[in-house]
Amino acid sequence: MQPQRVANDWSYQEDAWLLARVQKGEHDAFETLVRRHSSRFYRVAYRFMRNRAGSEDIVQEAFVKLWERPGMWQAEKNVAFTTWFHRVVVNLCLDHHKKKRPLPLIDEVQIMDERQSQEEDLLENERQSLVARAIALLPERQRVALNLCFYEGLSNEEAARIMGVRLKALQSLLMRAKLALKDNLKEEVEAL
Amino acid sequence: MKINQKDFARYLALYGPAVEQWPDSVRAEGLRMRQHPEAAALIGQQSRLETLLRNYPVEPPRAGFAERIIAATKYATPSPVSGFGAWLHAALAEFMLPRPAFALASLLALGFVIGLSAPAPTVSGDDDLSLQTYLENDGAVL
Repeated sequence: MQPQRVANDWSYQEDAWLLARVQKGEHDAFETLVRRHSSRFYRVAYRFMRNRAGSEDIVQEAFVKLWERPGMWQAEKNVAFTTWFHRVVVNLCLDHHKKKRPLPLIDEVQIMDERQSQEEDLLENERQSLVARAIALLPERQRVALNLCFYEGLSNEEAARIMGVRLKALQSLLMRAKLALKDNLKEEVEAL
Repeated sequence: MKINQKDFARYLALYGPAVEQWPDSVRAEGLRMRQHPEAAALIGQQSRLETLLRNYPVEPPRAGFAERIIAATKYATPSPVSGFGAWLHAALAEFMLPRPAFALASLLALGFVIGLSAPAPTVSGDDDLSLQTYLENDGAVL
């Protein structure tokens, strides 16, 4: 546990140092930040957007904003870059959804293991679609909580900071999300 | 803290099926509850649900994703970071100061700024004029 914590602390310090350089207009520091974090934030965006192009656009927009207005991030507020940037990406996803309501439900999820047989492919595809639908039907805040805690593995405390809610509220959102999914995916859960 | 089956189901949803990794405050009760057949069934359900959820895939970004972001910003000019706070942060970041030192330095700098920006007492031209008028009008007193 300890080495992970030390690594996180170092990463936190290093991000802050890179951001200070970004604020001075040093593009190579920005490049390091992008290479280090773009995949992670793409995953976050993908779980909201559910399509590759849209998720790439969101993450690119967030990084472009950071480069063009580096003063957006304020070190003195004592928030880790990743916590703050999660908030930026999640807010962009939510804004995008608000503009594009109603949410399209997924019929097909295209990612499959080529080695599986066709029948297994179909079954797995069907399952993935059902999971995607069930997640898409969750209320927005429950979806954010699930995305951050369950999929991204953030601590409840960090997710609460990102969402700007109290810890108890975050836990309640997460619990309700999982209970709703359990209910909506009852048949699939039993069939596993 | 005693928990019942309903609480157990809620904690299961919140903390996951690995009861031995639950927070200290509820772990002992969770482990006790785990012995019951109903609780064991709930754990099985939760494990299957989480397996199902983890199967939800993320399509990887197209190759060169990071490079495209970098290219999109290559010729954009960032707006300068203004303000004393930003300047102070940039100055301190050069030395990667720990947070207490950062706070202390910020307070010191803030003290200087307040001290320097406080208006010094001055005598205005109006004051001179008033004094002159007083002397002229009440010269008899003097």
